[in-house]
Amino acid sequence: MEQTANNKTMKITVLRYRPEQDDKPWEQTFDVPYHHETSVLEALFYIKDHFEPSLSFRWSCRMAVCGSCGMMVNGVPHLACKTFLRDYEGKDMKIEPLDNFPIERDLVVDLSDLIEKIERIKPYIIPAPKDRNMPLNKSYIQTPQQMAAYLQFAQCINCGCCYAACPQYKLNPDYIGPAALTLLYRYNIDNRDGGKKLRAPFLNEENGVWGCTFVGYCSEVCPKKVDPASAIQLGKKMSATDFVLKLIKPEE
Amino acid sequence: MSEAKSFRKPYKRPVDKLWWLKNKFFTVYMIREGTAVTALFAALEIILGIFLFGLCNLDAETATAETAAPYLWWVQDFLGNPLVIILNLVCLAASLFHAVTWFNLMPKAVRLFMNKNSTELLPDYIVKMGLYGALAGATVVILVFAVATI
Repeated sequence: MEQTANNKTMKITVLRYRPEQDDKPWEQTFDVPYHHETSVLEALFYIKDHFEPSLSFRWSCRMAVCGSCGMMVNGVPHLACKTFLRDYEGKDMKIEPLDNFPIERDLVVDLSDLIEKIERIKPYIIPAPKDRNMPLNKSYIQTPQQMAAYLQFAQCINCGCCYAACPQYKLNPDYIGPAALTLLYRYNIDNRDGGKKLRAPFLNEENGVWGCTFVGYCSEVCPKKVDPASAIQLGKKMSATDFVLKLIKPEE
Repeated sequence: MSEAKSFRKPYKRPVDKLWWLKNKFFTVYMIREGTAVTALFAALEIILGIFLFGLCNLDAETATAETAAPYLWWVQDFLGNPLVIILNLVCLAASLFHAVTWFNLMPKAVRLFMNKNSTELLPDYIVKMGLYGALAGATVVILVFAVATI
């Protein structure tokens, strides 16, 4: 490390919860030295190496690709690897596990609800009946515009930040939530996909797009700039169009 | 099955009733939702005016202070009441706040490509300009109508 002359420290409070001993979470504060490039994840490494070996948190890629290290930094959902201490200069920092999910241990949350909801909406290309017998060595043709239509929404890394930012999910855990609805929209508008009908029940139900009240904070916090709020509002249009079309032309 | 004892005990954090005060973004959102109350007041006020207009003697040959008494009470005593004037100013401010915050969100619900082959999206400011244009247009039409009926 080049930055040796720099010995700034920051007071970092971490929410701890050890299921074996603790009945509820408690706070522990550390003085962590940092330089210009120290990320929150590296600060947690420092705490684990020097002060508290039992501190648990999830991480893997350290470069905002894997989506493991989502956590609340001063009350705002962030990826720890993509958040830097320099941006909190002169302030204290409080790190908590992602909001709206049950805490498993320290900064580790139980994301199984998110995973189940993403699985529920069938996040994969379902071939249309006309493509059912398409040979595996033949590729689908897609124009640049057809790709641009969904590409932004395909950047989701399932980190759960949008769920932690969503007041609707906080108040109603049955709401299917931003990431799942975004992926639903992403596959529905993919020109290679023919599974719209199979996803319709999850889109149209009250806990689907209509559970959203357009707070818009999910798009604000998304570390990959996926803009879930946009996908959900476009999903509302899709759902409303579907409703009207069914009135005019009921299904056989 | 493993013989290991599980220590799993997921902790569900309780939902604080004042969650929307913890974050400025949520507070602004709740104020935006709260403008529904002022909109309700304005709607009831107009309904009251229409109702009192209906109570006037509309069969009379010429409208006099006597035949139009209920409506005149609404215009002079009710709308002229300083408290109602203040409430109406609050309503105006609230609906403007709602318009501005809502217009800022609206481009998210519009995703159009510039043309058939482009991968470029219609920029947000065009959607916003359209909305502000519509707001200005509607305001002018209503004001012209209001001035014309005096």
